[in-house]
Amino acid sequence: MSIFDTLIAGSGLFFTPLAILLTLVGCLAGLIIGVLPGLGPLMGIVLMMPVAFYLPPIPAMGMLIAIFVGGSCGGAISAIVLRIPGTPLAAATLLDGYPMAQRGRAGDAIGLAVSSSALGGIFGGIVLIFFAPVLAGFALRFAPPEYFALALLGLICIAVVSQESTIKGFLTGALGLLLATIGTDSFSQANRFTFGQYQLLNGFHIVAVVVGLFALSEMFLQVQSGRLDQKPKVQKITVSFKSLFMALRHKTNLLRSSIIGTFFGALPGAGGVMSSFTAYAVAKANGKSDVPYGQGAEGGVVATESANNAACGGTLIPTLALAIPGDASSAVLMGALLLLGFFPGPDLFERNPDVVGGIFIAYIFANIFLFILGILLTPVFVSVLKLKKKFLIPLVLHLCVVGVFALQSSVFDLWVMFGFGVLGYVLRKFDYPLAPIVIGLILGPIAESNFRRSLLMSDDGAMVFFDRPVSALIMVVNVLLIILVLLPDKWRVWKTRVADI
Amino acid sequence: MIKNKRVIGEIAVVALIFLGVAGGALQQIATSFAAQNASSGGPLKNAAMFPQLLIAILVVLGCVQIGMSIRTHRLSNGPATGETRPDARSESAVPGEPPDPAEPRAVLHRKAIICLVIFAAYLGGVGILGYPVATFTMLFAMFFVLGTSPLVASIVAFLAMVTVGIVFGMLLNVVLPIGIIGISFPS
Amino acid sequence: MTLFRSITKGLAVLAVSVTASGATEFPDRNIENIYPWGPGTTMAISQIIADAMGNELDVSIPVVSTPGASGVKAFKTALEKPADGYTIFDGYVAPLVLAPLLGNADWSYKDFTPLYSATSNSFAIIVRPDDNRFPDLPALFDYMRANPGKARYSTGAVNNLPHMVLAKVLQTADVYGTVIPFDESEQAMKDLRGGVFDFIITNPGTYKANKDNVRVLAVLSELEEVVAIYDGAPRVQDYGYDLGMSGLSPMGWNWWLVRKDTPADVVETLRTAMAAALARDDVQEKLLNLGYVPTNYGPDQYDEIVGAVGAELQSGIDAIEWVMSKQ
Repeated sequence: MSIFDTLIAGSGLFFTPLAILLTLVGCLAGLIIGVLPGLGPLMGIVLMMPVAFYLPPIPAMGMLIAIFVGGSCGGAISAIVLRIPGTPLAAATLLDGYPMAQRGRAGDAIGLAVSSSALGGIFGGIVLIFFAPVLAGFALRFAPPEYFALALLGLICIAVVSQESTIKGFLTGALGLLLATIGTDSFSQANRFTFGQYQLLNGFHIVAVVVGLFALSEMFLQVQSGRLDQKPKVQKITVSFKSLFMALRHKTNLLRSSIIGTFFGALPGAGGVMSSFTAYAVAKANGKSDVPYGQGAEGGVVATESANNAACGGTLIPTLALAIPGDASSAVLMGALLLLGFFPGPDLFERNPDVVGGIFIAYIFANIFLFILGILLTPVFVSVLKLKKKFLIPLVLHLCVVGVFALQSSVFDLWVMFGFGVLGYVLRKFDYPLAPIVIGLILGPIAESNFRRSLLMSDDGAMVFFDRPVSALIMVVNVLLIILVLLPDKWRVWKTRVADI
Repeated sequence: MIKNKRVIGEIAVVALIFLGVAGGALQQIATSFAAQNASSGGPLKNAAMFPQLLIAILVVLGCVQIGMSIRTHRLSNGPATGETRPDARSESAVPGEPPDPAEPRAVLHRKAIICLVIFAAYLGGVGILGYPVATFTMLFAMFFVLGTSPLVASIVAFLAMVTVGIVFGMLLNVVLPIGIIGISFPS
Repeated sequence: MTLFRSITKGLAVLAVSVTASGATEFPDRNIENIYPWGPGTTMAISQIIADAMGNELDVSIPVVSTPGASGVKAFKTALEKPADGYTIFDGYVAPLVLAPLLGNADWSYKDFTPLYSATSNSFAIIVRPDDNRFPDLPALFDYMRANPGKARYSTGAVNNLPHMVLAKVLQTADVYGTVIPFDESEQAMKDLRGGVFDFIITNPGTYKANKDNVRVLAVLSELEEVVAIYDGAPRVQDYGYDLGMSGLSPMGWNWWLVRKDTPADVVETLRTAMAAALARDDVQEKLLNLGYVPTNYGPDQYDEIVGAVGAELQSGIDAIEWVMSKQ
């Protein structure tokens, strides 16, 4: 059965009023949940799961997938408008999105984020539809050594993200990695750095850390910068779909970041978490931009957002084709599919092509709805910026508290957020980049556990990283990149030329 | 003088945050890890291997950073070196905006600290007073400190508290803090 | 449904925004289920029951994923909450029985008041379908005996229940391999299929999702009804090996609990609602779809059943120590 037959079979299931409506509703709900600080796509899917129990399969999956798609983009909007990364993924988006908004281009930034997300998402969807079985087989060849090598590659990205202060970047990155070791070690079962606090048994909640570091520190800097009672100047917004063309101008970046996003998404366990920072780092290294990266470059927003929504399509590849979920969100999606009586895996494609086709179409439509809704709602999101600072600051702090509390009903998490808010404030005062902390927190567990797994499965120690072709290749690239980073500044010209290649 | 303060600050940050964390971690490995039998052995049992590597990185880079701060300070005789690194600046609040003419820095600084204290008090009090009372009080106090009239402050604080309570407590099914005196947000 | 209910209630509350709790009948607000693992198929089980039970009580019962330290973090979190029936412990074996046995927790199963048992799920040893080295369990054991420590396997976390049950069998057969841990057992499936592992332990949910790409060597249970879940695969005892554990002991299960000092009328309300939820045909069907068997034990059977499991698991802990000493 060809892929087109599958799609035709699926269209019968998707093109019903209920399925289309629920996909639209899911996308809207996802966007809003993503915008709220703390809550991300996972929370949204978990929340709506009980509703899905009572629906036919395609409307149910359409709704949940739309939440996944909408939620993955929603985080970018609060990151751009308020410097609150709604999800850890959006921590990379704020690097350029927030400065753009501060320069009065909030509407453009959101439009760009929404368009890039939708385009990246559709790219991921096309790959999902046409190459799912092939890529799934490829993902199976990634074992612990390859994961470790990739995590190392991600860590080298820190050097790019914090180019002008590499040492400070690596310092905060190492701090993030060390913070990631807090909690029960799944290998030795030892409790590391928990100081007898049960709340630390699973480490710090990454969302509490991210909201504290970025949003909280920003609010106190905002108080200090004054103009509390002034009416802020905000870009005039008219609803227009021109941002799609704005995004399409970055076509190389868009394509490259979407490929990166889909690739990391398709690797179970790496998930989207690695994609947005990697895409950002690559875009920055290749960037030729009027505005420097980190100060409001359009390319930064395009890279992170297209990568992170392409990763949504990517994570569905192993989920549907292998029955191995790519990340926590797709694990819940797979649970929903099982509940509805369908078992993912190669046989699903043969036994229930209509369901697979319906899911594919729902995913593509979720991205189209994301684009339309995102553009229509941009004026609403931007209007938040019209609030005077004396109102905005306390309200944002309030939202941060409730959002972080919602994660796991824990007052302890609130104090974690507070502590990291203070830390973020101090570090920013002394020009330390904060993004490497997030990169470290995300990659730390992947790097450490896969390093130890590799050694356990190895018969000849560390050679395991070089015995396997894929892992060896990535390791060689890593070594070259490290040499490149360590080279003195006068080699910079040569370096950029190499990066271009 | 300002430059001296900056250098002292730079060194203090490295020493207190990065070297401090490294030292604390080292102490934990020597005591807590060792007591759990997890500070040596193969990859399965040695939980200290990865943290030790990171501690080493923190110490080496921390020392390099201190050295660089001192060197920049010695070499510089131009105005305010180290204060205007273009890249790191980009993460700060408002790029390229001049200071607020209406309020002096010291006043704003004091307001920021008062807000910080109110916020900390809120985090401490929300588990005791419950979400509605604590949130209303925090919002009211902060609006007031930032220059809103008491009437407007109380109205906005109330509306924000109720709206967010409904969105999170009812639509998103979050159980908001109840507090020991049992005033809850109904769900 | 849930959404509509929330909105109507929200509108009603706009009028009376703040009320003192306790004035109305239990429950007058959402009840939390503190779930000890990360999100996934197993969490869906709790969500199905919570949703049905919430319908009975006319409130929402969100399932809050609180992973950490093999379930201990979830229990400690729930213990911090007041004993008012608004917090339900999703009492899986690991935090309820294993953690105290391992010395990681200072409670015993007697410190909780049971509502009802929810589901049980059995474990099985699986290999790649095309792995000709292991046509059956004795072949695997022969290989492990001939190559001590060479067979690589995963059970998820090293000191979890599946590893305990497996360790018991390995100890009886006097063979061992190299264990490679993952946070959750599902994650090992990719590396089994990718060729890193020689065998892994799986649960029904993961098995059902991957059933065409794995082959069951042996089911780790002596119960006849479990065989059907794994499509008629042989049990350990069918090869002549002694599992050393009976009944629920070698299985994962959960029992919903509340704190001991919860008022009796509140406990009664919760029990009635949970019993009604579990009795619903659609709930049973959904649970079975996912490979989880509703156990239907009432609160009066709690002491007897959970107590018996505790006694048998001690031998599993000894077995795990034996396996770990070989690493």
